[in-house]
Amino acid sequence: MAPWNLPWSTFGAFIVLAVTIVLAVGWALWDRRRDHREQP
Amino acid sequence: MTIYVIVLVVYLGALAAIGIAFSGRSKSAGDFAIGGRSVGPWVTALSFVAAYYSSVVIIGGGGFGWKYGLATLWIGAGNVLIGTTLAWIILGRRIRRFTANLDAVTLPSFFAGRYGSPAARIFSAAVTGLFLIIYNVSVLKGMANSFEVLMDLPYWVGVLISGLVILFYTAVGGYLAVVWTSMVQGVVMIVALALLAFMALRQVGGLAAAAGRLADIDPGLVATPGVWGWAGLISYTLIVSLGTWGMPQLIIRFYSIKNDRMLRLGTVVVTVGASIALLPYLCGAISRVFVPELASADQAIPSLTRIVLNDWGGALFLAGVVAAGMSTFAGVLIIISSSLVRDVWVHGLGRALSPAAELRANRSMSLAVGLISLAIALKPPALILVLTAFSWAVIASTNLWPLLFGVYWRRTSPRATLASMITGVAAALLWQAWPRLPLPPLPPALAGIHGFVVGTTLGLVVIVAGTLLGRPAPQRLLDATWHGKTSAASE
Repeated sequence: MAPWNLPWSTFGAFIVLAVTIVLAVGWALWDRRRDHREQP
Repeated sequence: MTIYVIVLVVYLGALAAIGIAFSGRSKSAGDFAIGGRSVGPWVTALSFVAAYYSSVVIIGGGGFGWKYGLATLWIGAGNVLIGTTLAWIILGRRIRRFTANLDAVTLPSFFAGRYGSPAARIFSAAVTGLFLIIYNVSVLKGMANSFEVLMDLPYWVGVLISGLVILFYTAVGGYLAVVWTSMVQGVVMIVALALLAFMALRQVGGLAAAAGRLADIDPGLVATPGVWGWAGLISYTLIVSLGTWGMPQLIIRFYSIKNDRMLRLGTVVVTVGASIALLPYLCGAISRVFVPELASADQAIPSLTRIVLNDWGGALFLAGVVAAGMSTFAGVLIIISSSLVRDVWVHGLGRALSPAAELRANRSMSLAVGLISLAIALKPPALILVLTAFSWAVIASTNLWPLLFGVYWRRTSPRATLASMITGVAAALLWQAWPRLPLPPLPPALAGIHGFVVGTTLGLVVIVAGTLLGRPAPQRLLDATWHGKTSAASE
């Protein structure tokens, strides 16, 4: 069983949410760095 | 009751004041439709969340949570990942740049500039306008259901109160009023949902206890896909997640954001804000513990509110639901009116209007469409999430692929685009109507699949095959779209 007595198949929704937030922050940082590299 | 009235009067008065404050700012149809491309990241992100998560998600999503249990949390997770974050990352920048290059202020006008196809413009505008009215009806129904349960008001009074305030500030203030009121509404909605979820979890003894009590009722209310099954769960998750990629009232937020830097910050803000998507489903599932029997699943969230919140909390929550509904309804009204006036009336029927006359026409059209939605909402059919899924299925089947391929695949053929739109709409409508037609019943394995999946899949096949066999748009249109080199005469 996953946390809160949930099956992993349902708890996975919370994992996807956490990964999405990390993805958004990671993309924003990566995109900013790319912009800085492209601008002289 | 007095507390509810005080909170709502203050809140609705503030919204009307914002409408009046922005009434002088809309000087052209472009200002009315997209606010002159001058909106910052916080306002854009929060207004995106507010427009996305309407009363449909809160009330209808809660109803689904009550009916199908915790597996519906996946719909919320899909909303955040696919419907919000990936939409901003994949579509945001290109749509902002390309619509600016083409000076397009509506989705159909982007199709006209990108593909040089007046037929695609009119078809998209007509389908979008018609089916967004159905969506607006479900939004109004969600708000009125909340007034009904929380304030013991007749359903029709809830429809009138909600509808008339929105009509006022939309017609008076245009896009800027909508986007600023949406931001305020987004904050109210986030606070209200967080409060309800916190109090519901506290009362039930935490999520583990809620899961245990739901499993006692039916283990399928805790597992995934649980009592719903994969076909229904995946279909609905895709409709209300991938469907946003073809929904003009959400796509338009990318038109109006100022620059790429703001788009980056907006992506982070919108992802965090959008995370509240899981809460209605969670609250809906928890409400099953407190209210195992309901006349309609749409009453699950209002009933839970009565049980776990006091009058002040209930009033705040009602303000949140009204906020969610109003922001969506208003955003949709702007889209319908600007599409019908600019794309159908001016360009489709060739009736030229001066800038001032077009602005007046937009205001009148938003009033007319709003009143029609209001009239239908007085006697609406079906559960609100079912109504919404139907309208989203048809609109997304029209716009999704022409938009995505239009900004990523230069070769995309104008004829294939139009064929994809028509195929997608026809397939989605036929599939949804199938059980009512004199046709042999669908096999059980297929019957749970929503028309959205059928319409978008066939639309995808047609646009890819047609493009591989057909010719791309003329080079001058591609240059205009990608580089803004020539005037594409999209407007």
